[in-house]
Amino acid sequence: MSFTRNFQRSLKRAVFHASHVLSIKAKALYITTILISLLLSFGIMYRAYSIILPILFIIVIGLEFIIIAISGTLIDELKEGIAQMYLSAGISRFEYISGWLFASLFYPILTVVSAIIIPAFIISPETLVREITISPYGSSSMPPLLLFSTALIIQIAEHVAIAISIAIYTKRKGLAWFILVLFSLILPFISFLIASLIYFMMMGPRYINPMDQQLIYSLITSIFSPLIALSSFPFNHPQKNIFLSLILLIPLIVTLAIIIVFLLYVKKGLEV
Amino acid sequence: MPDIVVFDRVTKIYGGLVRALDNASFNIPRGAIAGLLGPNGSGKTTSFKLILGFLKPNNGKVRVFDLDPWVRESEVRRKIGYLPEKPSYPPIRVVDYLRYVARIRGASREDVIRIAKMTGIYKYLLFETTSLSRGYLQRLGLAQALIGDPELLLLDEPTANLDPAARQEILGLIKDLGRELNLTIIIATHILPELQEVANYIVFINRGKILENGPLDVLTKKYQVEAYYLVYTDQSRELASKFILEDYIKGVEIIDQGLIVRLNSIYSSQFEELLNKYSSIVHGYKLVTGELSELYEKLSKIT
Repeated sequence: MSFTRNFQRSLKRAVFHASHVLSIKAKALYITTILISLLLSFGIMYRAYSIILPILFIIVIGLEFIIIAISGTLIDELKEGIAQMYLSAGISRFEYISGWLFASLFYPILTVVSAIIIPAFIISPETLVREITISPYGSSSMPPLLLFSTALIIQIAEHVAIAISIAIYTKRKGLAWFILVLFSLILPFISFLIASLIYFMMMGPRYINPMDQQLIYSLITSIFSPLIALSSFPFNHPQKNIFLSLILLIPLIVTLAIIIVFLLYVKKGLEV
Repeated sequence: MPDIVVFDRVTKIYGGLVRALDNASFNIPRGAIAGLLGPNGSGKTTSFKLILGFLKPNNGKVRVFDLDPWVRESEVRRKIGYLPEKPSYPPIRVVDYLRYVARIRGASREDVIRIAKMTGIYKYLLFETTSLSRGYLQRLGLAQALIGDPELLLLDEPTANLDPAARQEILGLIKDLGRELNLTIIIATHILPELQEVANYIVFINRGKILENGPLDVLTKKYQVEAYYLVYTDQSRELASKFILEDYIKGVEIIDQGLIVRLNSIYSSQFEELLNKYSSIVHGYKLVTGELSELYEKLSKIT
C-alpha cells in the first residue's frame, strides 16, 4: 500500500518535472509539432500518400536530431550543476530522469497522435479508421499508416531510451551523440549488410526462399529501426501478421529492457 | 541536543583514485551555526553532496535527520536548503524557478513572495535568471534554499566571488536567518574572518580528514587560543584598571556597553572567577569567540 502510494507520488513529481522541462526547453517545438501534425492530417484526409511518406521520413530524421539535442541538454544540466539545483529542491534522481524521459517522448508522440486525431474532427471517424488501417492505394507492399505510426513511436522511444541512458552514464556529449547517430541514422541503413552477414554466418550459402530471407532481414533490422524493418517487410508472406507483431514487439522489448536497466542504475548507482 | 548530521568513518573515493574523504567522522548538533573549514579541495563540497544524497559513500555511514540520505533522498532533501558554491539555474524567470521549488516542497505561492522579500530578490521576480548579477544570483540561491522552511541549511562558500558590499549583505542575511528562523546552518568556507562572525560550531577538515570538530568555545579552550570576553558594565574605566593588573590578561578595550577583554582561553576559568568577584559592577559577560585563524594554525601544526 505504502509502495503504491510512494510510486504514485513519485510518478506525479516525475510528470511535474517533465512538464517543467517541456515548458523551458522546447516552446518552439509546439509550433513545429502542430504544423507537422496538420500537414500529416491533410495528407491522410486527401489520401496524399506520396506526400505523407516523404514527410514521415523527414519527421523521423528531424525527431532523431531533436533526441540528440535533448541528450546534449541533459548532459549540460548534469555538468553545469542545474541538475543539482533541481534535485536539492526535493525530487529524487529517479523522478528527475523519468521526467526527462517523459518530456523527450512527449513531442514525438504528440506529433504522431495528433496527426491521426486531427482529421477525426473533419472527416468521419469511420473513414479515418479505414484510411489508416488499410495499406495505401490497396497496395500489398506498403504498411498501413497506423502500423507505420506505431513503429515510428516505438523507434523514437527506443532511441530516446538509448540517448538518455548514454547521456547519463557517460556524461560525455560527443560519445552520446556518436552512439545515437550510429543507432538512429547509420545502423538502420547498414542493417541489411549486418543482417546478411549474420544470416550467412548462421545459415551458410544454402538456398532459402527470398521471402523468408527478406523476413529474417526485417526481423534483425527491427532491433535498431522498426520503421526500416517495416518498409522492407514482405507483406505477401503467409504468416505476415505474426511477424509484423514481432517487428513491433522486438524493439518494444529492447526499449523496455533498456529503460528498466537504466532506471535501476539511476536508483542504485547514479551520482550527481 | 540531538545531532542533525552524523558522519561515521565515511570514505569517499572518486574514480577509484582520488580520496575526497578519508575515514571522516563528525557530527553537527541541531541548532548550531557550524563552519566546515578547510582549504580548497579538502572535502567540504563532497561532505555536502553526501549529506544531500547526491553521492554514495564508499565506506562508513552518513545519517541526516537519522536517515540515510542516499536511500531516503527526497525525504532528506525536502528538509534541507542548499546553496552551492556556484549555483547554476535553468534559463527561466526567477518566479517560475521559485514556484517550481515551492511546488516540489509543498510550499505555497505566498511563501515564494515572503521569501523573495526576505532575501531581497522580490524586485527581480520577473527577470530571467540569466540576467541577474552575481550578488542577486546568490540571493536567489538563498531564496530557493529557504522555500518550504527547511530545518537544515547548507551554504557552500556563500560569499565567494562577491564584491565587499554584497558579501556583507549576504553575511548579514545569514546571521539574521540563524537568529530569526532558528535553523541549523552549515557553512563551508576557507575564509576565516567571515566564519568567525557567524559560527558557533566548527569542523576542521584537510585532505579529506577531520582534524577536529566541536563547539567553538570548547575548541578555543582546548587549544589555548586567544579568547575575547564581552563584559557588560557601566563602570568601564574602574573595571579596566583592575583587569590590567592581572598578568594573564593581554588587553582591555573600552566600548559602549562595557569592555572587551582579550586573554588566552587557558585562563578562561580564572577570569570568570574574577568576574564573579566583581559581580556588583559586572552586569553580565559573554565569551565572544576564539580567534579562528589561530585555532586553524595550531591544528594545522598538530597534523
